[in-house]
Amino acid sequence: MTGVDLADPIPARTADRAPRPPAQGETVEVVAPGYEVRTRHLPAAQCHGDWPLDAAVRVARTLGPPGERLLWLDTETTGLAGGTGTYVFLVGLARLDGEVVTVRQHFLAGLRDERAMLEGLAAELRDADGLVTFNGTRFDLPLLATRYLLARVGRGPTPSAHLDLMAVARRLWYRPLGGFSLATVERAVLGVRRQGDLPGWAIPARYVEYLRTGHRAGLEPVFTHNLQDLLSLMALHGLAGALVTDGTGTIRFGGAGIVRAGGAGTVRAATGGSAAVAVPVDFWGLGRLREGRGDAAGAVACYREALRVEQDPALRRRTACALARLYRRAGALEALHALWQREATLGILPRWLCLERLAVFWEWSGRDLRRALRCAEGAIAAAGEADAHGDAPLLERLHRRRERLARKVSGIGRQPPLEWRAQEAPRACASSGPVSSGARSACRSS
Amino acid sequence: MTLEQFLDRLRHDARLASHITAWHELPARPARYAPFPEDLHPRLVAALRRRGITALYTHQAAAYRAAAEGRHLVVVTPTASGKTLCYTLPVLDRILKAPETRALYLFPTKALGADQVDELQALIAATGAAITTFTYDGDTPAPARRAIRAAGHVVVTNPDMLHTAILPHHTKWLRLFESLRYVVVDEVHHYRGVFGSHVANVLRRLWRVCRFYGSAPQVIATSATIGNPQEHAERLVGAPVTLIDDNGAPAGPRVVVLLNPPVVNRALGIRRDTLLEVRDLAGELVAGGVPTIVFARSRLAAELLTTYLRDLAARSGEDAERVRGYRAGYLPSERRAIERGLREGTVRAVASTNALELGIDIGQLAAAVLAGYPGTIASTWQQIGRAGRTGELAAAFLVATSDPLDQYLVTHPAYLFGRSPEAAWIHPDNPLVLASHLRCALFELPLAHDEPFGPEPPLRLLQHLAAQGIVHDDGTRWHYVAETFPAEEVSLRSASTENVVVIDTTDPQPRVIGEVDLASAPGLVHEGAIYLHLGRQHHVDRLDWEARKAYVRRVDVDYYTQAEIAVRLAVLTEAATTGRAPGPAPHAAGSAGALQAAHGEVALTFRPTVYKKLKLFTHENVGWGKIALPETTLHTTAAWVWLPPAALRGRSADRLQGALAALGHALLAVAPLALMCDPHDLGRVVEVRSPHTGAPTVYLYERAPGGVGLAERLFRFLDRLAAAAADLVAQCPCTAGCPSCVGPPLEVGEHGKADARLLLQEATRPLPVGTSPRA
Repeated sequence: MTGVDLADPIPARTADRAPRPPAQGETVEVVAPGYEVRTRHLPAAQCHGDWPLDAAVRVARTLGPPGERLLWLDTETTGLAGGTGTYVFLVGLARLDGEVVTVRQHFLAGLRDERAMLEGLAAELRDADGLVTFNGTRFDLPLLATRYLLARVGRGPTPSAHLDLMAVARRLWYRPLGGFSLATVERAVLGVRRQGDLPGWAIPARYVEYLRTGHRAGLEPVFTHNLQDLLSLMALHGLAGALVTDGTGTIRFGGAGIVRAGGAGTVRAATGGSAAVAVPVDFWGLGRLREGRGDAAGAVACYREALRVEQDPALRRRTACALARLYRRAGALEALHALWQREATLGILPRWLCLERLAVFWEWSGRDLRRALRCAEGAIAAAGEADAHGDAPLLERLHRRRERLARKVSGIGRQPPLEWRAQEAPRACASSGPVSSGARSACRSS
Repeated sequence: MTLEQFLDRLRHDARLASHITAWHELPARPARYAPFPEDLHPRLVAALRRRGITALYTHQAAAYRAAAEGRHLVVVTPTASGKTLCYTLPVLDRILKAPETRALYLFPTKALGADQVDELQALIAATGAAITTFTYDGDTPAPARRAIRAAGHVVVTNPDMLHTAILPHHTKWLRLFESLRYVVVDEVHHYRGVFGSHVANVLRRLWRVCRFYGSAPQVIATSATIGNPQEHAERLVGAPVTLIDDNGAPAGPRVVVLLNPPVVNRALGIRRDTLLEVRDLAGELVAGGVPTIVFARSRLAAELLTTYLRDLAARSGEDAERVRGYRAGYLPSERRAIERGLREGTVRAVASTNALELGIDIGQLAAAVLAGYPGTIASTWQQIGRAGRTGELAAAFLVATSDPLDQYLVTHPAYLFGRSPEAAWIHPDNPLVLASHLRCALFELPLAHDEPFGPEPPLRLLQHLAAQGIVHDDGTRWHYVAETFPAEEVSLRSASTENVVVIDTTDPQPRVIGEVDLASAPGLVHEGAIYLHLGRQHHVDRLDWEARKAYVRRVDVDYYTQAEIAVRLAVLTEAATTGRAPGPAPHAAGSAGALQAAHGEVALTFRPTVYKKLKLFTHENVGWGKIALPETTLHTTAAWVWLPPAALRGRSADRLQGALAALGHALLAVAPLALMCDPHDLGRVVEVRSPHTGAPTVYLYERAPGGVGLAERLFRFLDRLAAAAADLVAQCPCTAGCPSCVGPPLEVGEHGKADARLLLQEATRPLPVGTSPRA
């Protein structure tokens, strides 16, 4: 497997039909008449958009997948619909070799040699510990699996570990950017400006045109597009890794310092050597990602950040509920109480909801049944004001709670619970002010 | 009152007896049994015994044997003859013996599939084996699909899902295709005409995919009684098929009675309304406790009959819930409940459209009442067959409408009892149909240069597709390289699958009560319409056409509504014609002597105009309203034939109308065989003075949107068609027309047959030598 010799007569009918002479720093191997691999080495310290690649990859590794030898994969196909009749004609693989990013593009120059291409690809994939894609779960990997099955070449790529960055991108950027395609994200958060890029939808036609005519000139932008996609994938991986793994909600990136979250809904991040840029982030989504990784403290910071600006009642509700759940789990009762108290006064969430939550708080955490009952009654009144009459299950639930509390409260009068008498601490729980930490421990031990 | 007593009264009551035009008795047929085949898996034998089956009917045993011998087979049996076991036995037997075996069941409709799965699962449960069956259709939730692909022994689906969801993604169905042993194609008589031609090509694709995975499944098909079941199945499957039609299932004696309602206005020749006549007849049967099914020709008629019969039941102090309606558009759960009620006897009578004509298991009923001739002999026997009980008397009544066809039939009973049912025709090699499936086939697997698709390697089609950039030749194989997903661009059925959802807003919580297919919606759920559902009246308050939603409210009024739809045909382009061009050239294409012909693209416009309010029970007109809905247009192809100025000169417009109708009918009668299509694939419009040709003209148009080339073939082979039609008319023993030749006299007039005969003779008269290359 050596660089192609232009005198090599195999596919060369005219200059245009032959594999293009290698550009600087690039080699082209002709493995079979219809299968070529282009290799290119880029300095890892170079910036892609605002981000230096080597630093990006360092941070990226903390997000996974596990393993030392990662491959970033992106395919170009003859269609986007999927199914058996969609060919994968270009598979780009990027990896970090020390100071160098190596990009290898496996190109199907003739459909007859698909088997050779798939075999070559499989050999390279076998050496990887993990694979990173953008929408690989639903698109690239099933499509490749189909090609392997159809060409009867083994089972195709079955990486032990695979990270699909699209799932991450959806969480982080769908709301602030109105979309989460690689093109949208790279423009808005990576600061990548592509010059004369071929749009993705135009790619299949270019390849079909090449098959028909054998002219390669039209394909060059496809190779460039694929290369750009791979670099964006690496940079995005790094940025997402930095956002998700930094537990404090600040970004340390490129080793160049820390910048606190900037304006509403953005993180200010320092990039390699250049000025800090503001990166829009959906803190709710970032919180979910962190929570999913078991980083409760990091998630709390995100949810709180999200609540600073969230005006949509439904989204605010799920954020507040998620935050409340984490507070409860951590036993942060003061914060839990303050959360619903504040929500009740803010007036974005339905008042009955906040009062119902407060009733729950006082019944089970604060252990003040009378206050709980007052809150439950307030919730019913608020539900009435909010014209929630049609919501029968809600009203039924609120009434059930009130009745139960009323029963309990009247029970206190007749016969206070044994353990409360023993501890002599009910007053602390019943105090009207915010729960003191002493009262909290008293309540928890009871 | 027993059925015997009812029949006795019918025959001896002078007034009723005068309505009877035919009384046909079919003798009882004893059961013929065969022992369980020796190689049938013991667990299956035990399961059958547990379900009370101690022997097989002869046709079931024959089917098992043919399947065991590795042959494709088609089983032709009437309803309720144990058809399901004919394919379930070989399939379960094979799975029990080799658990990796897979089977694919294809049903024409979802409802049929659901019914058969229940029966299959009951038998599987009795074997106690871990055999899994799954239904894969549009309703299957996405998470379940993965499990089905990996684990289902028996996958139940329909041709449409096979076409768009399974074959194009066959790699995901690796397990199924690798071990596919049986493909069950139920109710193959459904796959006729253009639809059948599409399905035949889907099967071609299926066989290709199976070959790729190294499987070669056997086909077990079933069919209702049609004229050519074996030939039809062979054409559909593309291979020789063994016919199993020796029905061993028993049947009790049966009486078939044809009734013609009395003339109520002799001057106008108007007969008593069929629905009222049917109401009286069925009402008595229901009152007498005779389990009865009533077949109506339209959904409106089915609902009206439901209303009437429930009303009668309620007035005689019975539970109206024992009378139910049944038709397309009910929710699946409602349908299941009605079917179960019929089987278990909690529902005593049902008024249905032909939706129940098919093989859905509703048990055995004692009486069937047909409100009008269903249109074909095959359908008539299917509906009659719904009445039939082992060892006991059953009866079927066909009550004629005043339609010419019905009137002919009741006055010529021998036509119904003597003729064999219609044959089914398909043309899988129709170039347009073949081309669309060739693209799908290529998408599924590349096609080797020497691999046939259809009768031979379709080289010319492929070169054409290559020129369009859809396929690519790599030197040995053709590859699909276009971006589009070809199966989505090919619809197997000409009717749109879109529906209008009917939403009942009477209660605070609106709920969906049914749906109406898009084509029927303008006539059924326009604003102001009374929409009948389960015999209950609903007023349509609003029809949101764009959102496909009709908002209705329950009402109790004494009328129903009937919409009028104006149909207009306009010629858009004329692709070729025999007329106008001077010289001998016209006869190069399929000119037919005295007839001029052309073909091209046409637009049929359906415009709902007004609706009538008709009083319940009397059907008198009590008002009307306008319908404000956009018209719908069918763009398709048509062939048309017009009369030269000299032909039938001086005849009245009525007579010309009759002659044209007769000519059109005769051409349509021979077209299915000549074009290998179904009569329903073509429609007919007659214009005494056509704006396009300026002459008396018959248009024969294709019902499939865009057409599939039938019109062009009609035009090209018009001389052959005209010759066949001339033969048909000349040899038909009827005097003034019948459904088999030019249509019934009431439709074509007393001179219709003679005029059509003359026109066809003229058309096929050899032209003077030198003027026609085909003379």
